[in-house]
Amino acid sequence: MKKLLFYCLILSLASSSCLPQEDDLVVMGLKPVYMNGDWKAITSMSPQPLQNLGKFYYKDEMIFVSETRQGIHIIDNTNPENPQNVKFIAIPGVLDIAIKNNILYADNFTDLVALNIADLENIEVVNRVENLYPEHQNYYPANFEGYFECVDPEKGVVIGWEEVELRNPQCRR
Amino acid sequence: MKKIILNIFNITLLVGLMIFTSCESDVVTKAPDVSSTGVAGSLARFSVVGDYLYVVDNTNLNMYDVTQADNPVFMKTVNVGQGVETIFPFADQLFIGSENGLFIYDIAPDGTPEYISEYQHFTSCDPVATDGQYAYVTLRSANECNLNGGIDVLEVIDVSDIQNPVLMRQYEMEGPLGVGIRNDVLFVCDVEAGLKIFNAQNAPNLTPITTLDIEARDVIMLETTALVLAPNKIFQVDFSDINDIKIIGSMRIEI
Repeated sequence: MKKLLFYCLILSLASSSCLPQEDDLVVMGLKPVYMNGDWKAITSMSPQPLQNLGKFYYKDEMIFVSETRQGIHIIDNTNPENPQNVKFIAIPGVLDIAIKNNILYADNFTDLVALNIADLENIEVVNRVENLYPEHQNYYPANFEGYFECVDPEKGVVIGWEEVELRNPQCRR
Repeated sequence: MKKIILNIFNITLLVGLMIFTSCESDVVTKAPDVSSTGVAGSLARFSVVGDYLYVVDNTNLNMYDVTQADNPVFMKTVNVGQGVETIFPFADQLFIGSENGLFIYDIAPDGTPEYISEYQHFTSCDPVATDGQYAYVTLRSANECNLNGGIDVLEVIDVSDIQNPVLMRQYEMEGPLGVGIRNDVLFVCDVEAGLKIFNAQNAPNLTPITTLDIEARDVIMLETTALVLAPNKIFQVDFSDINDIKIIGSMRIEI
């Protein structure tokens, strides 16, 4: 009787969702990191550490380098032996930079923003063009093949991806 | 008599001057004026050429009018292909790197990009740099760039006949990203394998000069120095003397 009870217990446990099912898929993949707040807010601030550099640009002895998806570092390179990190412009979702005269162009997720950088103490957004990139590019990790957690636009814009263990991921590339 | 000779001399001189000065005004330089725009690394998706901003977005080349710099206006989109990743301007052309190949576009007087030619290659990420004679393309097989295996090489493509790009050489690399060429010195950012520097005077044959122990991902070639981008630092390399290429500064600012 005890044996029967024991077997019944095991069986019921196995058939409940408490134990992992045989067909659960557990795999390393990417999970979206969402940004809270206004992704269009662009803020100028004191210099920040260089941590995850993306693309760079040089003009008039100044180096502009993107901190991937976070913002742009402005470095005064007048003396190459001793470059000075002078400013950081927070631009959510930024990857690329280009400049014409005193106007710096950057991507702010799917928008193109134009910033007047004539006076580094008074950097301002002078224009914004929407739909720089197709919207759907935010919904999957670029240049990646594998499983990922599907993007839920209700949660905000995706500012990056982190590698985590996924259980039964619904999305894949 | 003297007066006549003098007059003839004066007239000849005047005519001569007129001929020479009028010839000079016919010379049009093809070199882009970068004084108003500066220069980008080879991984760029944005490029400003004259009054136009070009942006590549995975399949298209998009064109914005920035005659009035603070008022970018979208003009048109040109479909390029798949996996379009990088853009490199040279003279009045755009060299576009995609996962299938190198596409070369001409910039018409009104800024419209017009397809010239392409060079297809094995599927991989590919930034490109050119000096007008050769295009230097790096191919990288890392997972993020190629979904079916792939190769890690530097390709040297003859673009002297822009209508007909021809692969001349392939050099093995580990996993290269950015690339730059200036004064016949070629910088290849082979990331964890370092910054590989070549003498390109006899291109397409390249002679290795040295490899610097920098986790190089991209490069901007200035006149005699190069800015090299590492994950959290920027190095400056003096290449004015190819027998004494050296790092002159590195930057990792801790705040």
